[in-house]
Amino acid sequence: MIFRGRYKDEAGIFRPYMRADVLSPANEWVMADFLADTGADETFLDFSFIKKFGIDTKGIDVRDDVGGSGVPYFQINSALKLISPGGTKVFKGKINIFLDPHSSEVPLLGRDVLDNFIAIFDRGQNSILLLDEGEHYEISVKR
Amino acid sequence: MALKLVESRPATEEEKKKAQEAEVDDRWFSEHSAEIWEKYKGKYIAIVEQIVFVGDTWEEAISKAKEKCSKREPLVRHIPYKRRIWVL
Repeated sequence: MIFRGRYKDEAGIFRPYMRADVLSPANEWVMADFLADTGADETFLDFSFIKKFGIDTKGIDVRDDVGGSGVPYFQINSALKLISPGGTKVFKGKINIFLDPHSSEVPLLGRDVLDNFIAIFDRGQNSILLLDEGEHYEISVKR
Repeated sequence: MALKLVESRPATEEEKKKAQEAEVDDRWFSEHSAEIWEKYKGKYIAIVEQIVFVGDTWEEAISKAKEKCSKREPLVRHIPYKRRIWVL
């Protein structure tokens, strides 16, 4: 299976995005563009998902161990689904949600998901490709 | 526990259709992202069938999109007022 994302031109800055569905607490799949972030240990949803998911943040267990900077977040049980014409991959477990709107403006697809694939970031071809174990690639050098 | 891969399977017909539709919208959004960012600063946008629906809130954008295309799930994004450098 190969999952494909694209770069988006955001005011002159090209950022790599993968589209994925995330499961809400109401058990509905919500589509989102995730920034493919190989520097993120885990997947995070941005602050806006608190409202989108209708989450009551009273009494949640606030965590602050991101990057040593104390950015607050919490976790929910959820699932994430990558879909391509060739197949579907489903991930389950805890997903993190930022409590601070300034932490990130978009959801981040972290290495808990990305490390299951060979990831190719090709700005020239405007492609982010995630290859599963059934695929392979070769590099040929022009001489 | 962080997200773990639990299932790898052929896509259902519904998922294939959704992926194909999303692929068309995604390609269109990628090709038009520069002008969308310039035109809709500070707004929420919902994209479906290569049409942009605009609102001051996430709810407004998605409700406009669903009014026109009730069978499709739109992609919703917020367009910030000003360009920011991200170091995540």
